[in-house]
Amino acid sequence: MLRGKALGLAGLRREQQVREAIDYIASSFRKELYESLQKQLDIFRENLVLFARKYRKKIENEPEFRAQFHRLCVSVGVDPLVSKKGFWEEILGIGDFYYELAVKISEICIATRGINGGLILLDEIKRLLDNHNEGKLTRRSSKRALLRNSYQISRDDIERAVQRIQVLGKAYSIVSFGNIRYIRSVPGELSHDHSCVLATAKKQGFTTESKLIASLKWSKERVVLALKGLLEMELAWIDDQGTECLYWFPSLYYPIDD
Amino acid sequence: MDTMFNKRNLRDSSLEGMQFKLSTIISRETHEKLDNPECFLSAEQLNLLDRSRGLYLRYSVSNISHVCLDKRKEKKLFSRLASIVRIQLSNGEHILLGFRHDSDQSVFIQKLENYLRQHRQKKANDTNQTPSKGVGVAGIMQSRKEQVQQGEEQLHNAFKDLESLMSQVKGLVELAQKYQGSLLESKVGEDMKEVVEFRNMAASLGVDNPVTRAQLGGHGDEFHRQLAMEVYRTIEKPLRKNGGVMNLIDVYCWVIRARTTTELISPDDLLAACEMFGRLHVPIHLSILESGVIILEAGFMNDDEIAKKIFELVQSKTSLNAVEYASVANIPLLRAVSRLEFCEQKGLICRDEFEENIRFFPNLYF
Repeated sequence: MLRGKALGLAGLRREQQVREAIDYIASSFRKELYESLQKQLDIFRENLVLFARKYRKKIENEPEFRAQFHRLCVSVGVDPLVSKKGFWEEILGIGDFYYELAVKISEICIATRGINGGLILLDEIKRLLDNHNEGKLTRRSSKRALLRNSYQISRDDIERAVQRIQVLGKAYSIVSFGNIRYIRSVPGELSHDHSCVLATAKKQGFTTESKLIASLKWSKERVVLALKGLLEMELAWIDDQGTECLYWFPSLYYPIDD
Repeated sequence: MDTMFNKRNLRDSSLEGMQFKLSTIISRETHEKLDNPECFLSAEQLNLLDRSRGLYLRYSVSNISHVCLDKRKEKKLFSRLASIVRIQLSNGEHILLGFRHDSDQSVFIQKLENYLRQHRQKKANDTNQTPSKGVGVAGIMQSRKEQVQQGEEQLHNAFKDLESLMSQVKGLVELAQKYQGSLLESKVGEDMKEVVEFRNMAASLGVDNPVTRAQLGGHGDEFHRQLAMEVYRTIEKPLRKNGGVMNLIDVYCWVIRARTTTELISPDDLLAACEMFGRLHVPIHLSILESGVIILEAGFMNDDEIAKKIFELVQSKTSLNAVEYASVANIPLLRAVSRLEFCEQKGLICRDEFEENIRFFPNLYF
């Protein structure tokens, strides 16, 4: 108890005692919190085991239930896929599912890249995955086959898998054209599409979307992305006075041996 | 499943919506205890509910074939009880309820048997009214309807269980945040045991804490070193075929497919392994581009050497623009642009902009 002003050395000592008392209370409060946290965590772990016993199959087999599970996790602020040693992976076993799915997705992307330039419809991937699940045998051993065959994949799962894999960099991303979603597996930095467009436009110095589609046989979305990239690199001018947008490339006007 | 009631007196023990208060339930499968559970009957189901943990178990009354006293006393847990009641289910399982007081147990058996009798009578009446239950189209429709109802009920239960689990998680997350707050306030040192343990707890729960990410994976240096060598062996050829550049996600796919064991490595492990390339003198270079894309590039070249090469190229050709550089070096256009800009920042080349046409010249001025 401080009486009036804290006087001299005695006052300082008293202050210090008060501070120490407060610190002691704070640290014992903290210890209590810690213990109750431990205890609650143990209780939760037991409950999760019970829950998993009942619902693990359901999560594995029903995409809607799985999506609801994830939504709730997000709303609570918990990410069940964050750690391989976490409760969720250990007890519910969902970590591996998304990584395996991501690998399958990237296989498909790599295989189709030659045709579509790295831009593939989300629904197309889903269709290919469903076909794959329906029974094409692979040469891989059957240990992995268990993982592959029994799950039903939803669009939500595909998007989550892509999100999860972005810890390895944003090379794969989901782009939308209007309502339609694509997975882009070749980011601008790694795409030779821009050089292709320039090569096609070399003769006339300019081009349009439809010309590119006709001569390169690309999808409209791929052309649009390539042109967008060129615009951002300031290598293209856009001219929208006519019926269709024209794209001009100044860098083609001044060849090196001028 | 063994269910044990402990000492508490059974209060409010009438059935159909009223409750029994119990003190523990032990599940045989997992040997766990639930504290302060409630037991009540409703909608023709026997419910065992633990409010504090939000967990409950249900058994449909129609599945109960009979109730009787059980003579078993062999387990240590049963020795403190006066009597054991056995509820036999029609699928072969049974539930054992232990009581400490004989009076409780007899009351319980009486009430439950009454209820079962009423329930069976009601069912018999119902079936009498639909004599052709399993027959014909009406029968099929009836059983389909029941199936759908059952399915809906199961789904409903599933969602309820899910929500109760999540509310528990929510409580846990809040508690963890409180604790974290008090840790910060008291300025406990970073390496203290408490802090480390807290981080582990948060990580296993999946609470998103940027600090915990750094400690995940749990595999040591040695594992990453071996993994790095494995990645190098796997990726050497594909990398060359791809012009010396591959994005890390494709690398992940290749590595997983090439592994003959079934253990999946996590992306974090791959990242850690690739970061060790420099230390291990592996001729692959991990670089992170501005947009967040991570790539592996073949060759020992680091950024400075690339810049020097660009400078020499510009010198030999007097001037260079991005398109020319891209075709000479056979790299994507965007990479060419970013490399040229990097070289410019280093002061080796400078740009000349004329009508949107940007050319680079050797920097003779600084």
